Amino acid sequence: MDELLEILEEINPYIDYSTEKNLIDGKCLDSLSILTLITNICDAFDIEIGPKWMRNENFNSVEAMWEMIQTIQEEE
Amino acid sequence: MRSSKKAIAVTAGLLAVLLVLSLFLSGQSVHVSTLEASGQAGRSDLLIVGASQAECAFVPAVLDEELGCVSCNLAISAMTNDDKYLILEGELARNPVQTVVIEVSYNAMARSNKNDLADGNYAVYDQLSSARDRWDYLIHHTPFDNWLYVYAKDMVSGLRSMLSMPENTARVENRGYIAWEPRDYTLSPEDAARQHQSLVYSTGDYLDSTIEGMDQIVSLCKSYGARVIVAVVPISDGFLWRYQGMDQFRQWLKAFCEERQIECYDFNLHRQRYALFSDAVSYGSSEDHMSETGARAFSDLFARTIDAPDRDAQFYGSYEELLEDSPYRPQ
Amino acid sequence: MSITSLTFFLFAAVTLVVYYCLPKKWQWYVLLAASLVFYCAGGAKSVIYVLITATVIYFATLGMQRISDAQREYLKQNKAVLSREEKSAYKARQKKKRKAMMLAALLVNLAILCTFKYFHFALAQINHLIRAVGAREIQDTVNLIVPLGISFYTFQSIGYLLDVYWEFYKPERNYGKVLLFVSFFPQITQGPISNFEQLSAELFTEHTFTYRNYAWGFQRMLWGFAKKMIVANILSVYVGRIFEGFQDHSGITALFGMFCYSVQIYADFSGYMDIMCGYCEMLGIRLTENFDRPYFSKSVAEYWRRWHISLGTWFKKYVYYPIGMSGWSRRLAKQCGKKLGKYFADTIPATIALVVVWFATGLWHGASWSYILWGGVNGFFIILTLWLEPVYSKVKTALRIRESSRLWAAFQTIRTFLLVTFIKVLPEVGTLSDGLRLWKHVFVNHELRFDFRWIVAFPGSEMGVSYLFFLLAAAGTAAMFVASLLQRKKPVRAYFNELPAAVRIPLVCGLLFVVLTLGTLATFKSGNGGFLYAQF
Repeated sequence: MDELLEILEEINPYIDYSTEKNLIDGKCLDSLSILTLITNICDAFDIEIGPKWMRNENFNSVEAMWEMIQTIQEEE
Repeated sequence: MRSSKKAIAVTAGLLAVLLVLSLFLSGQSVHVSTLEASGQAGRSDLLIVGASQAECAFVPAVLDEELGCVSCNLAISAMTNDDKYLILEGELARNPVQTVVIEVSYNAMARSNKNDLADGNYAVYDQLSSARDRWDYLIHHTPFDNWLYVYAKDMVSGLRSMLSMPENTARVENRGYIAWEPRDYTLSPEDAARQHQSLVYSTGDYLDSTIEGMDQIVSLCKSYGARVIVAVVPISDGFLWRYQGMDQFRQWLKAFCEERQIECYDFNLHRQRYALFSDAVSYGSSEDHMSETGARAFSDLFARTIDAPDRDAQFYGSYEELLEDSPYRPQ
Repeated sequence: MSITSLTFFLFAAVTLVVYYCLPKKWQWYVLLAASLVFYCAGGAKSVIYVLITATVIYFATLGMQRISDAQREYLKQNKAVLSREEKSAYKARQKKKRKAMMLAALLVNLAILCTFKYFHFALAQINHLIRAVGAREIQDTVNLIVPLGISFYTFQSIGYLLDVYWEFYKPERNYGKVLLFVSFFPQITQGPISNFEQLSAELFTEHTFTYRNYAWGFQRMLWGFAKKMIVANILSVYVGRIFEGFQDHSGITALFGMFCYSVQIYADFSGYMDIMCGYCEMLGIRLTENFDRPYFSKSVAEYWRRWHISLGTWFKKYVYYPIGMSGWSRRLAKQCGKKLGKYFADTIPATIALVVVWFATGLWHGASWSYILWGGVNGFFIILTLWLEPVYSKVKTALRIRESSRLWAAFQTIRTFLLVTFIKVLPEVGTLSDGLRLWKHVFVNHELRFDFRWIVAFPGSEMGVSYLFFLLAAAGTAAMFVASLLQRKKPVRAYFNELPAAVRIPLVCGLLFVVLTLGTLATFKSGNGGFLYAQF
């Protein structure tokens, strides 16, 4: 989770990721940020995030992202 | 109040307000035929019916001077044979005349008898002075989607009447003649070149319903004992040679008129056409609609021709013969 | 069937009445019947293509689901027996089958779309090459009548196909519901391009008539008709005259014509949306919004998040993210990162995705080089902004520009409006070179004449629009601007419905009368008022 937080902080350090639960629906991250986030997550955790994971609820909070990463790792 | 009842009540209220307003404005609008509006009802000797080519080619003032009569141009753009019959029926009942000129073109004979142009619908609607006739025209002769346009024009006409801003002053002043261009117009060499490059224009078969419509007009005129003249207004030389089937049209029209014992003059074939009409000056921006210069020259020619003793000799026998003298040589 | 015709008014009224009079479980059947009638009114033969699209995606999605279900069942039953490698191999085989099915359905639909939209363009390019080598051209004698709304319903269908492929949700088993999703008449001509999950929740839920939906929906429809029939149709005649002969006008007139075109196209497209969203509201159905005050955007990227939103969302979900997230795109970014630094490495996937998106967007809008260039110019500005973001930040810091400053916001808004206005007209004037000559004309032609009419082309018979109609269009434009300002806080109808009935009713009656009379005249004057986006 810390590594994930590091990636997020690098993309946009002005968001409080511990409390923000609407990162996508609340338009806190734009499409470039999302793409950068996904690329960095894939590199950092050695996973492939396919289009099927591209739902707002999977990226709205740090917890949701972490759960998604773990699920992908288990599947792989 | 239940939602649906409230909706029905409000909608009905809105429609009622619209209806009252519409009836009021419609009542204010003035619809009267050109003949009546120009003060010539009951006094005319010669009426012309046709579509846009006649509307912009027959100048009553010129005809009157040459023929010593009182004429009125009842032609309106996009007028179909049904429309012509309707207008003539009303006018002849009020004003039996000695002569009726029916303008015909190849294009018109291949077009439907039903007028689907909104402008054309309203123009005919506007000529009908009785509310019953107008309503009948709307229901039976106007395509459904054009009703809104006729309604809109009627409302605007009512508003203009209330504000003392009459419409159609030009049409009334000139007894039905409408110049195709707002002023005398000369075709530029570039426009002429562009026109002569456009595709060959050919029309389809003549429609039975349209021919039947023409028959009805002829019978109507003859029932009033009028002299019936069928006239083809000349189109520009360049445009003429992009039509196909003109000789077949000429033969068909000649047979139609001979069968009904009425006169027929195709002014495309008049021997003086090249001397009197030039593509650049007589036609303006439209190759098949005369400019004011062309219209005046044509009206004068028409008037001189129809009562000339040797009028048949003034015309070429066929388009093939005409082509031999034509200054325009198609590629 | 034109939306601004009496036939449509009657059709919509009858559909609304039947929709609410019949039992609620039949409501979507009514919509399906109405959609097919609407489509057939535009040409019965073309409905075959809608049926093909609906049928292909119906069977493809069910087929893919069958494979998924079989896979789940098989793995469940053989959980203890199969090794990890065997499970992976099995999953890979099943994935391949699903992918083949998806690709087949995708290709069929794209083939139909591309044939109708791009056949003549493709042939023209081939003929260019043939002429270049001195051979004889291929004669283009094929007469293709593009099915109504093919670009919209094909994209919408492909979205559904890919959503099922990516297992966002299970496919719909009822063919009629799939057909309705594809052919739903309020959106088939000009969108919005909807997502199945969202739209089906609206379409297949039973709706009770409420006065609020009826009144609000009607008000929005009326507003949409006013925008389209008055503002858009009047301006289209004026703008058309300027664009036809811009060489005969001053550069300022050409620029004014461009501004009018921006207003015209917004009034036309958003007017249609208001009409259809308003009508759907009367049915109790919420459609996706397609506009969010786009001319108040501060950048070209933001503009495209506010203009034709559903198309942008579609391209983002089905083109931008898949390309940007792909393995090869990430590998390329890593390689470039070593030479260009982290920031540029991070932007490479987005850049590649944007190039593809904007090429495709240009092509979607029209089969011509001017549309392709139009897409390219849009993409260029968006990518440039992306790359120069660090430079902009430094410049703003150095100049002490506060992001929150109103002056800065105004500058950004005006700059963006000018940019999108110039880009917008490129494909509208004629050929690509006509568009480029218009741009040049604006900057180069400043011949001085002591004639105010030379500077700005006045309404009148030469411009095809009378003073009265032009003033009406101007008043409509002002009203649209005020509405946009009000919309920052809440919908305009919320303000409107707070007014006393004694004010509301005359306003509605008055606007209805103006739309029916002057709006109708303007519509017929502009050539029966076809919608600009209805050619897609």
